[in-house]
Amino acid sequence: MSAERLSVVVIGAGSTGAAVAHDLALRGLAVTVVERGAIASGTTGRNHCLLHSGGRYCVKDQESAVECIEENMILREIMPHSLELNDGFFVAVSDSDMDYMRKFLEGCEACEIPYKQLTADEARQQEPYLSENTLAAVAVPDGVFEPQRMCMAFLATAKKNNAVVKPFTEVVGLHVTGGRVHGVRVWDRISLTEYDIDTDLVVNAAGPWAEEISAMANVDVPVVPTPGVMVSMTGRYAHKVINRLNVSSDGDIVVPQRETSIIGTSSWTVDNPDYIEILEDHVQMMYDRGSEMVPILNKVEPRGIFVVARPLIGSASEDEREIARTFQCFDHAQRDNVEGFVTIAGGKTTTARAMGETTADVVCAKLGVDEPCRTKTTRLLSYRAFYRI
Amino acid sequence: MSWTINVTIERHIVARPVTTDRYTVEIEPHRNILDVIEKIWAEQDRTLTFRHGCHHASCGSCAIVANGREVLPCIVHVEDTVKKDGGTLALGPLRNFPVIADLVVDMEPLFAVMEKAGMPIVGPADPLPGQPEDDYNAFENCIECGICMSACPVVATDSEYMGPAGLAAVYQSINHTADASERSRLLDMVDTPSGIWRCHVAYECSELCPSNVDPAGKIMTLRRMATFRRIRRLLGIKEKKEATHGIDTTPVKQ
Repeated sequence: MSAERLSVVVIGAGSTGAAVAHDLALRGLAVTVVERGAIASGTTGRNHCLLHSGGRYCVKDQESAVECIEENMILREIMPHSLELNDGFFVAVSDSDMDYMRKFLEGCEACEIPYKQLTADEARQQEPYLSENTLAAVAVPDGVFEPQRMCMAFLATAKKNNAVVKPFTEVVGLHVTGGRVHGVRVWDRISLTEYDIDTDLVVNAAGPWAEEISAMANVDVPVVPTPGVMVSMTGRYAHKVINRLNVSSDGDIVVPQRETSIIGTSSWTVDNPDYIEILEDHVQMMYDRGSEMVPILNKVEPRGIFVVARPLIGSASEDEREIARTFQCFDHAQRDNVEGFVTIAGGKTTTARAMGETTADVVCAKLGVDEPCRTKTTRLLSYRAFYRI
Repeated sequence: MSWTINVTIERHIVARPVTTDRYTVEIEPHRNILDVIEKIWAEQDRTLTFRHGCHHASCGSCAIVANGREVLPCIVHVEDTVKKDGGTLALGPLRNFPVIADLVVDMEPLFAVMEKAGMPIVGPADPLPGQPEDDYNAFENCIECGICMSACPVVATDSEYMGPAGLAAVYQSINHTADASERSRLLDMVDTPSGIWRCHVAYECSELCPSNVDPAGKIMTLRRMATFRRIRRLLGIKEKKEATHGIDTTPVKQ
């Protein structure tokens, strides 16, 4: 069956929704994206901006690490000249970090992440603001992106392929008849009016709000809103992303972006991700831990302090650091006997394209559309085209 | 200790006259103005419309006017604007852009100019403080937030004027290309009455830019470049072939 006239509503214009819309539009479906706020105003926007090499997951969560390095390389091709590509360091500043190095290098080998070992002197020659306590470093192909602009690039390209993008359009209900979702009720926040959009299928890409959406179809999805605090410091003191060479923990990464250094992050769980109070002790922890790697960060002023919930898949009883960072696509027909409804959850902005591909594969199989994914090789339009198209 | 602040927000709703709504918000004074806006939306008024993304002055989407000045509310503390417990915070959309709703303006005119200027998204990184030049890259400083366009008195009165963001972007494009004919084409684009010569040198743009772009300084440099080019042409001297790296203006210190 051809994709013509088949329509899909995608809920959410973060990186996941944007990538799903781009993939489906490329395959010829009639896509409408509804987003309750501005583009990337949720989890994606308040991002650490790290283009993952996979290094952060290569020991404990190798599935995620492999996804990261594959997508990292693809994004370099499809959005060239839109990424800061200066690599990343994993630095050892303690004996425990040095003990971790062997596991880390084995992880890089297993996940095929390119790496290079450096002595402390070599590392500090390249990054002079690294701590005097630096013992060694490993270089990996980390990078830095602009999350909102990445979404706008996906969406600009989707719009060129006839997708309709509706920001400030909040889903207030799903229309379900005979066990099938066939439309959404939305509230237009510009005109303050409600209306319906009929569709063949709905994709729930609402991130930490996915459960709120799925509940409208009496379906539960196991998404745990898991906030983290990030602090953007005034001034850039490294060109490379600086990671702590150890098991993931609070305040173990400094991402340089433009003229700032973003220290992150912490982790806890909340029920309502709409407004999350910034925890003062977490902010202090960012200064303390970040400056263990880059000491000057304890002496400069913060520029922005922010918090946002990650949409991790799991149950709230699990230790949030132990939850895998990979993504999962739920076909609610198979899982919950609700047709026409798919949820994509988990993941991270680095792997958004892959999340789009997996979701579009599920959607196309359900709708009987036989079109291959082409997003691996399709260059995205500039984010600046978003408003023009 | 929290402060209780009185917030007024201009409400722009389609087909209705502009009104002002009032809210009382309890918030710690070192939180940012964007936290105030988000808190009002989450706890008091779901009809409030605003744009935001990164919350650390990187995406440029939250720019508004707060107590009369253009700001990125994500990096401006409540205490620096409201001044005292019980004080007032008056919020409105950017000036000189079409208003879509409440604090949301249509950024299309700015993005059209930026596309025309062709400024690269990533360029050579400035060296780290106290360190020599090296071969790294970084995002351009301009975050395309629209603050300079809102603050510029010429943009306010002349819709033909290319504006500070676009002119600064053309300067960066010239700096990034080694192709003499492309540099010449870019300079042609701005060496016009509604380009670099329309600026009134008010310097509001450079004063309020949250990202050290210094558009006014760049406009002045473009004027010098255009003037030198005219003199060279008058004297029959050929265009220089080398890139213009190294001609830069002193960034505005925040």
